[in-house]
Amino acid sequence: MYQGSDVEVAPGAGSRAMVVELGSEIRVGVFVLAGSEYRLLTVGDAASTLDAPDFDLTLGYETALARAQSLAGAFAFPTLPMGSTLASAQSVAAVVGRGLESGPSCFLIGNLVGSDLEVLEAALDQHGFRPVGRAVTAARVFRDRIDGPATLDVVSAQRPDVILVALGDDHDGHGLAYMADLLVGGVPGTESGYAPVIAVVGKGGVDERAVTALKQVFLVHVATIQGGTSEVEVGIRDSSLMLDRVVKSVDDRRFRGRLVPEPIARAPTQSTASAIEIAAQGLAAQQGLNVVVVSLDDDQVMIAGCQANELASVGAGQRSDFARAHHVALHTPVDRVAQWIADAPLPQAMRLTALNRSAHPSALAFSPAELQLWHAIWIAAARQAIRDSEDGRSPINQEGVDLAVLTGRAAQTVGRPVQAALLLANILETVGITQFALDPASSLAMHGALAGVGGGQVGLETSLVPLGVCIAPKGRARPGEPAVLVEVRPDSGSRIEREVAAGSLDVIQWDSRVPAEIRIWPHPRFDVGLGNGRPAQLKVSVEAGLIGVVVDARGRPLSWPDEQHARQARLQEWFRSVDAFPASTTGTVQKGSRNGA
Amino acid sequence: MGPEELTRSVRRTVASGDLRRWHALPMPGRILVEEGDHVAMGQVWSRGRMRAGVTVVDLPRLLNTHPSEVHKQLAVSLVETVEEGDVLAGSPGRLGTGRQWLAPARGMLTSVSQRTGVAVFVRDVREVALHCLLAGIVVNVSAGDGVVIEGRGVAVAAALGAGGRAIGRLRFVGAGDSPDAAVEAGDILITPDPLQVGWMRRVLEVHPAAVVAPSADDETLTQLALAPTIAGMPLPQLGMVPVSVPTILTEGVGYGRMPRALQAVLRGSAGETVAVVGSRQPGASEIILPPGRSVDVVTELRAGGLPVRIMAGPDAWDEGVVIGPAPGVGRAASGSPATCVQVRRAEGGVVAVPVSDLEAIA
Repeated sequence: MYQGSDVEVAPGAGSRAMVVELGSEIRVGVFVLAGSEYRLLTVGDAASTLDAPDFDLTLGYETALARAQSLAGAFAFPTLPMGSTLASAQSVAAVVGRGLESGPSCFLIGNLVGSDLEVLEAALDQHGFRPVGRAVTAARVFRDRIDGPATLDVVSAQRPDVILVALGDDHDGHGLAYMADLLVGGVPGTESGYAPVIAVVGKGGVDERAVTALKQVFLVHVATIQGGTSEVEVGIRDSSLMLDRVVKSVDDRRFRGRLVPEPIARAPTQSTASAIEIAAQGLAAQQGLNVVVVSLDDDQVMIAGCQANELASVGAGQRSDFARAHHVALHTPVDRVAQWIADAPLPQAMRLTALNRSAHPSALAFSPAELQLWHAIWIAAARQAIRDSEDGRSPINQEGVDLAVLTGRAAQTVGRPVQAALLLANILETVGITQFALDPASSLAMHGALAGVGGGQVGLETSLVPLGVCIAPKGRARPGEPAVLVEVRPDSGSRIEREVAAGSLDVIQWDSRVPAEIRIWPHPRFDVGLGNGRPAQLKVSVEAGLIGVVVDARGRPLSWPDEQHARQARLQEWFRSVDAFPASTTGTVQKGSRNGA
Repeated sequence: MGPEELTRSVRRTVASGDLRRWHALPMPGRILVEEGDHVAMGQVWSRGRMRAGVTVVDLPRLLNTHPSEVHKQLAVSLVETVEEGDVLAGSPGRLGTGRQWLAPARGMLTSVSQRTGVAVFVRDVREVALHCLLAGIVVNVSAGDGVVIEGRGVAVAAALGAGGRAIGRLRFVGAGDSPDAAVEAGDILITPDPLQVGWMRRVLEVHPAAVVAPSADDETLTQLALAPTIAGMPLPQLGMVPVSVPTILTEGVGYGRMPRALQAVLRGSAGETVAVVGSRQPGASEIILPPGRSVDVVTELRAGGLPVRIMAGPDAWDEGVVIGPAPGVGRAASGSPATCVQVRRAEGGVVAVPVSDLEAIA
């Protein structure tokens, strides 16, 4: 079972690492070295000042640092060099945020022979380039084999940071000239404002006229390489310095138009998506469990699973730049959200929420009903991301999830812990027995980023709070028919037995400090992992966590009555049965407020 | 949370004093300023050409000919306006077997490479002049990318926007009124009242440079095409009046007036030249005021406590002043954990509001 642990750090510990997360807020995570691993000490946050009216992150960064300091005291930042400020003195181990990929995205165009191409791709990998597509041929007559306009269309759609033109044989100069005419003619001066960095690798030399034409509208880096004969391996490594310059050019453009404090501008970056993936992998390895992390933010949702050592992830709303984005609701079909709303004036309420939350990203849901709407949007967006995965099937094996973790803004804003459990159950539709955990500080991405930049061993579990155990038998029966009997035997206190009917949800709570044995008796048409009707007992005692045991006998896949009122009644019944939202507001949305949300 | 930390933790929407703005060059163009130059608001810093409807064609491949032969097969001259479907290059050939390139729209052929035969067709080319958004000094010129200008002034962030950039004289107009005789074409019109479609129609007749309003309801936003729609949400079939000028909303979606504190800041620049940036990118829309009276107004307002607007809840869009922490209140009405402060509302009364639901408006 998943084992959480308390942070134990010796006072005065000097070894610490700082991770900055950029989003609608700037958050500073302070990690301290405890034993052999970094553990989260505190998170300081502030409204981001990267956008209007400041376009300067300094103020937000200083405020977030001051907040971290006020939370952790001198413990977080023990000493400052004379004359230095908190913001200037701190080195940042990693910066994480949407679109802050660790290296430039790259589209490769060229006519290198196979072995040369392999060497080039290895060099690109070594420099941290992320290939997003390529149009390559091994033929010498490059132009005959590459459909230039079609390539241009792909490039315009993908918008890579770098277009790398690598020509092994361009004796008449027409290969590079052709690409230069296509790029100069098709890319710049349009409303998209797209302006990639162009890198040219030419064997034995490059066509200077073409390079000059490119330089008139693009930032261009050129490297000439030698070799590539049967005797001499192609000298792609000779282009290493040029690739370094390309990476620097892209880095310099990352925050273009904004002032960013030096420690942040210099720090290695990690996208939220890859940081969450790293965290899922790390948690799976540290705990020896199949782990799924669900990250729900205003502008993107992401699900990363590491099951049987295989990593899989899906997302929605992800973009290639760090700039603030619209709320994820704008990409989520109204009818999908409506399935998860007990009663709301959709679609207007959803649009108002989406636009006002895009405009005022730090604002909280103002009522339980609006929080329900947020949750409905997140559930619909996440389920759609799973459904829209590349092969059209869920990348997550719902029957093999040992630990499901909720992180992101949803984790920070849940009003009641059981809401987090409902989000996880409704998104993942886990089957069998699954532990649920919450990342209330939403620091898992920071943990992942620190681990991802080689920050050493990171105690990923230290930010998690156990929510409880979800028991979700697989099977079907008519609503109301018994589905499963669950018995909880706390080490002290009386035994609790609960029979849950098909189509229903229930929660069993006991003293959170007391471990308990759990036994499960599914009815003959239900299966908790050992076969229909076969009883199960958890191998170890579990603590109640924040919730206890959630018994989800709604069946899999989840289904609703077609008729709207019956569907809404079913949802309200689910919410009521686990006391997810205050009873007085379940199913009603305040309609009188002047901002209409 | 101490008073200073409290003040700094509220998201601010007004910056006063030293401003720094990146001016991006979205097209190949000539940068007309140099580092160290003093510039005025509205001064042209770059000129270039913006293209729309760009089609790039590999003519030798299309016409099955050698690049050097392509020019012989051109049917039109460069930059000659052609209609959709006109033959741009190639010949019909006998029995209709010839290869042709037809104009994909009304537009013009802008270039055909002598060397490679790659041709570019463009639907529209516009001469574009880019203007300085604030007065100050050019502190950085990045060739091909843009320039950074630093200067003094007041910047007010907008909640939503669209339509691009504009520079003009600031005029206040009531929402119920038709623009009066004092309003001239090219003015930037500000109304303290929610935007309405009928008013917008009347206003557009005087050809303003930009429109600034506090809010608009969902229907108005849709009719004016000011905000993106949600996937799967049907658009109204009638009554669409897409606005053709930069338009920004300082507050957001709904029906709220502009806070008086914000009005005071904007009125401080009435009659002066200001800049408006209306962008669909969240967090990028703003209005930039010149230094002078507006800076003084901001200073005066801040002296009386931090002026804020409330963005959510039953008191949404009320304005007030932060008094201090609200001890014992640790959750929003939704149940979400929140750090709360006490706000004295301009309309009277003190309410506890989550810090994250506040925005500083001066």
